[in-house]
Amino acid sequence: MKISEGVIIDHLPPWSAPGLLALLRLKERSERLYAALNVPSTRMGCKDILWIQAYWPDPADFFRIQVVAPEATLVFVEKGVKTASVCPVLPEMLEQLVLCSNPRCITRVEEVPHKVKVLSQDELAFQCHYCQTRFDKKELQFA
Amino acid sequence: MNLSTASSSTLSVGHLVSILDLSQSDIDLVLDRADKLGCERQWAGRQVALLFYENSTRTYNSFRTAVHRLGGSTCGFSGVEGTSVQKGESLHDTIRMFESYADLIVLRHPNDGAARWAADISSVPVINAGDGQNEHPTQTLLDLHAIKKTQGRLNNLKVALVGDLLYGRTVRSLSQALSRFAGNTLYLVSPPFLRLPGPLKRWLREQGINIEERATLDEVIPEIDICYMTRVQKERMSGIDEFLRVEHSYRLTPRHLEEAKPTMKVLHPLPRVKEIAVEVDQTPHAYYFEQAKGGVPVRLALLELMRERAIL
Repeated sequence: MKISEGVIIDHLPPWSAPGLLALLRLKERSERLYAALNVPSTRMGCKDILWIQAYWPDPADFFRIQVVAPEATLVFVEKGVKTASVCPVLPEMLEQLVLCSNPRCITRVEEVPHKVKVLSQDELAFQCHYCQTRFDKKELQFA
Repeated sequence: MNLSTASSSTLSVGHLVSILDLSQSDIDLVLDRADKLGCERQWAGRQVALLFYENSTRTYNSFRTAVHRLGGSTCGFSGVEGTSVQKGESLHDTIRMFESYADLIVLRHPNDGAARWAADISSVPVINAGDGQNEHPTQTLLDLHAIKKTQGRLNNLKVALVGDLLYGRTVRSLSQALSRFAGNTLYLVSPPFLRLPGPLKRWLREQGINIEERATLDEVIPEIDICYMTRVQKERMSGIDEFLRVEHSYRLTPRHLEEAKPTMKVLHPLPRVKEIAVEVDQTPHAYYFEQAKGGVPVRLALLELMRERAIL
């Protein structure tokens, strides 16, 4: 599989790639995209891999990738050469990315910029900046 | 406000939204000042906006009294009837309006997190007078004032929190405040469906506070220094039938107090409904009315310290 410009997302959990593509809103692009599903992996047993032409994830996409695949590796490709390999790291505060899980939170009734602190990168634990509600991946809703 | 100007005799924060905004020395500063009030007219010629989206008796009037004693005036509302809020005005727009009328805003709002949002957008200091089920930090300051007056300390205490621990904001703020002081034990006494939220319990344990959950008052009364009773927040519950079946289990009567330590005091943020029998009022353990009397001096001290901080 070869892309000339873009990103390779490796070490995705098996069968997670279709859902991730939807989350990244990449399903309707005209650019080339290759996917390997449920292929053997030394580290994970089985994994998915995506090769995505002409795509560079923004910080919001980094976060979406980490939620779906905490162990993912991103390899950037420029002019056919792999230039950098990174693991997504969340910032301390997620802005306009995640909804607070508390239905009584002020963010649910007024136009308030969603702000959520990242309490734990590994366990994906969060806390609303406004109402202090703590929640985890199970209660996660993207803004 | 510039944090670098703060010293040990001034508050370290410009807003009071969560009790955790205050350090241990901030709390000591407010409580000490509350006992030494000189009532200088620091707020003369200045105005405080009291924006109470929910009805309030004690908090509203004690803030109002404190502002007037300091020589200031108040504007705002208690209950949204007749205000632009009823026409659909947002909290954002209301804050932006009142920041131009007032030098400080005291906010009570039915939604969790409203006070933090107000503090984020306001150019003047904001004090949280209760935001939904989240926090009520100034009530906690007067709870701590009562505890310190009766027990002489805020550490190494055994405190029972009784009743509605799920919906009550005073319990959330008080439990977090007590975690600021070493050696405290919290006994949580509530029906299973009104327990303190799990994430908060985990956080409190991480802070080093000892937490024990008990089913009945009888189990904890002989051991405790403070019995903090709470009202069931009927207005925040969808159905209370289940509670009505067990409410007698969480009603404090003189019989419970027979086994109490002589120095044990009963506190309540008020209003009381049925959770404390009126006969308890006559016992030496009842302290809730004295506790409430601390509302004016504690809020007065807080206003003084916030004014001093703003001048620096």
